[in-house]
Amino acid sequence: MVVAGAVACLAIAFRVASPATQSTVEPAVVSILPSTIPPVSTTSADAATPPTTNPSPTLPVSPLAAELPGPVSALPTTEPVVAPVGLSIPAMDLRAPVRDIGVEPDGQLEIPDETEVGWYRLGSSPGRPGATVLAAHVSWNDTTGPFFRLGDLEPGALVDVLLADGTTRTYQVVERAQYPKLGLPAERIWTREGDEVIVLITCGGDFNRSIRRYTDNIVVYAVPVASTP
Amino acid sequence: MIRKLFAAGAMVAALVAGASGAHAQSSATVSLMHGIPGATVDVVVDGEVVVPGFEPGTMQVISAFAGQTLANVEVRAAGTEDVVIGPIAELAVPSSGNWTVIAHLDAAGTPTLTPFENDTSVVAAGQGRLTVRHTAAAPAVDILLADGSRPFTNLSNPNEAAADLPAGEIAGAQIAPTGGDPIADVPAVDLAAGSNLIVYAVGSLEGDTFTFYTQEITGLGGNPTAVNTGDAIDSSGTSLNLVLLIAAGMLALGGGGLVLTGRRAHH
Repeated sequence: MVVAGAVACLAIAFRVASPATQSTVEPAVVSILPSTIPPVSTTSADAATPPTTNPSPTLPVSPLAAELPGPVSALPTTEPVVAPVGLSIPAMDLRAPVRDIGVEPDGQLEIPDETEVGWYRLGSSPGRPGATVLAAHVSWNDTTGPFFRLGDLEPGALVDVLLADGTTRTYQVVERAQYPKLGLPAERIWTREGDEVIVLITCGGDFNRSIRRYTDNIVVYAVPVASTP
Repeated sequence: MIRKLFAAGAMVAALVAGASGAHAQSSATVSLMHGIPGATVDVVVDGEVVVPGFEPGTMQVISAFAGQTLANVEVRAAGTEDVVIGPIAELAVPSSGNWTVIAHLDAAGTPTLTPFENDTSVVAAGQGRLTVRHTAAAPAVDILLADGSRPFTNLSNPNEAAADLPAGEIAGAQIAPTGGDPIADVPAVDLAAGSNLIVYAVGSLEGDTFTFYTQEITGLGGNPTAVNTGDAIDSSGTSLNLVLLIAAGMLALGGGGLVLTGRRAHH
């Protein structure tokens, strides 16, 4: 969003500063921008409007124009999502299949069975902005779950995510945190915006026997280091 | 070109009558959408161009003007003196809430401005809000989903319909004249959890410029309410299983299993 806005600003600045059609007032704010940057063609999915060089306005451009963030596209898009299908964390001796999960009718995150890792399909996916959330049991029916040792995973450890297209993306752990169940940082975990990050999440903390649940969540954040074909 | 004070402009002004304090502190989010395919325009306020070269299918956030009353607003064909919409003597930009003002064709094909207030109330976990706005020169329509259902019917210009739905891709939707057979495909859209995805039907059916634009408003909740990834490794009786498992793990991995022992003890 920010990038699109900046590009659009430059496009407008170029058009206004273009000497061929310069007519009236040249606001100072426009002139500080480089005039050599070519106008960026919009994502021309709109066949009805092939990119053209628009003539300059016949009226002076208001200084207020510079206060606006610049246009953003309103053309419908769906970007292809490549689902993760496998997770490997050598430091945890973990290799597990990944399947997609959503939310339960009561609003909780759906959790796969004891052998699988769940990918929250309503979040992000590897290679795209935002958080790819992978959740698995720490324990299940008195046995250990795939993320039994997540609480011991240290920064620097490598995380390999196998994707449905056969590629693998490698991430490196940068942080491990423990939050009360109701204190998860939503803006870091449930987001499709911002830097790409893998979020591994399981249960931890004390076990509350009365509700047979752990009191906390353990969350590990990992950022991309490389992608291999 | 047409030079006319449109009722829609007056409507915008009336919406926030009383909010004319020129520099009222404002928390409104206001977007201006160009919903007339094929016509690049300049947006003019009181003789000066505020949005030059405004392309169809783009939006410009104009929250900087929230709470202000803009004078003599015109939409001109870009670089010309042809006034497409306006002049609107006074255009009051909303001072609160989340709004989209769209330049579009009315049902008869005349350019106009219509403000819509965007619903930013919170959605349930795993859901998104789909809003459909009829801003095209076209008759009233039904929306058909891929399964043949018609969740929105008899939607006419300039009106909207909305529903909270399970998030995910919505593909294979079509529009049809009310009660009739499909006449156009709606492009696949990705309804994100916690978003209000607004789909605008724009352009002219007869003029062959009919198409769809979208706007996404995020941050409306929709997140899972909890992550419960552990039930019991209960300490009584059954913990023998765990001990055996750990022992097996230590045998298999050498020292690697040692790290297990200090954790998960909840005695």
